[in-house]
Amino acid sequence: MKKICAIILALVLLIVPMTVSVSAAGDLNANEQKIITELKKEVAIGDKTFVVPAQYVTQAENYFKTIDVTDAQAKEILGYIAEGEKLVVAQKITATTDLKVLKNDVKSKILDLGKKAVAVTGDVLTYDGKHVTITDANGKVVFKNAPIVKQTGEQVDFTAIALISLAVVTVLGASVVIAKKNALFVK
Amino acid sequence: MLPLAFFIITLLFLYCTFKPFVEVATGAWSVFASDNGSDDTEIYNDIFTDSALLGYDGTVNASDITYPSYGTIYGKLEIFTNNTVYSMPLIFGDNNACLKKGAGHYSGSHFPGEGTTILVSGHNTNYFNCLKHTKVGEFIEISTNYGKYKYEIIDVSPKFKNDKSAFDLNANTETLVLYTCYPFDVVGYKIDRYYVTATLVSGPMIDPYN
Repeated sequence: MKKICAIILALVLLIVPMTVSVSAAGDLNANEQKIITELKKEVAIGDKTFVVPAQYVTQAENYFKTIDVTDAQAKEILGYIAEGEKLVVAQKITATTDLKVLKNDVKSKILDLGKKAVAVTGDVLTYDGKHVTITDANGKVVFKNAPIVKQTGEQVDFTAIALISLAVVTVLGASVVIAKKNALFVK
Repeated sequence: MLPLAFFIITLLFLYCTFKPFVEVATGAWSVFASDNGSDDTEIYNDIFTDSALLGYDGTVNASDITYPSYGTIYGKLEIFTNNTVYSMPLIFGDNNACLKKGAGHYSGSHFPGEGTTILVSGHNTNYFNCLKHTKVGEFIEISTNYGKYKYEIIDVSPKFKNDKSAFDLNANTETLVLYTCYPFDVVGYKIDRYYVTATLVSGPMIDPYN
């Protein structure tokens, strides 16, 4: 579910850069508010309801704070959201609330829509099988559905350390053997 | 000649072996030398200017605020604990690059003054190593271009990283949540986090409609 929601949201975020004006206001204007309201709306599929996770909506909100969206632009953005919703609703999922069950061709269609939008704006959408990432022309992250809680400790590859340590011991051992062979040690 | 070659090779192996531990040590040292220059400036914007005119009260219009894009330094985080003020840049974004530069604000959480949860992470070997000293009742401050915010620590505890009780991104009260990997002194992958939760004491609230 999260992946698909992320892709839908990604579509929205991708469309925005090509439609914004140069001056960006900190507050959300009425158009941006419409989009956020739409993103917060529950989507009913059969007897199940689906929502975009709060952290993705907040990412969109925070992004909108750095830009301005006009009325016409909002219409286009809302159109993309509707298109994504329509595609998902048409699948008539009833057994689960997890959108992972969507067929691959549906997922591909959503992903392709995102990639086309990215190509128009010069941005890049990548999906590595786990995460949807949107980056701008400068490679700066616009959106990513990464885990909320990050790894914040030093990472050490203990396997590498073990192998290197073994190599060190071998080298030292070999040097001792060679030294003895060449009678470098004085008795 | 041969012993010399072995000596050099051994030195190289030892360097590779202990390099991660040296990085941990230098990371810890940076807590005490956090004002040292960094070569990351070319990939980060910095919109924060520390102003003595900033207040702790009142209201600020959202339209008057310049919000940061991902990877931008927009504030200063100060943790008052252990008879020391631990000061560090506050960056919007929490990927690896951001966390090398300072404390990382999760982009899916809100900004100070918005009346809900602000989620901030930092490495336990440098910027957030000081969290292990924090106690309930101590203070944390965030300075931004639009106001200064003071928070009082109400909870300090290690939790499983995905423990849903650790924070609520939709909370109706302004809560600052700092976290770092736990335990502090163990190197390697960690499944627990050290959470420090603080509530707003003072700071201008943002009016989102103006």
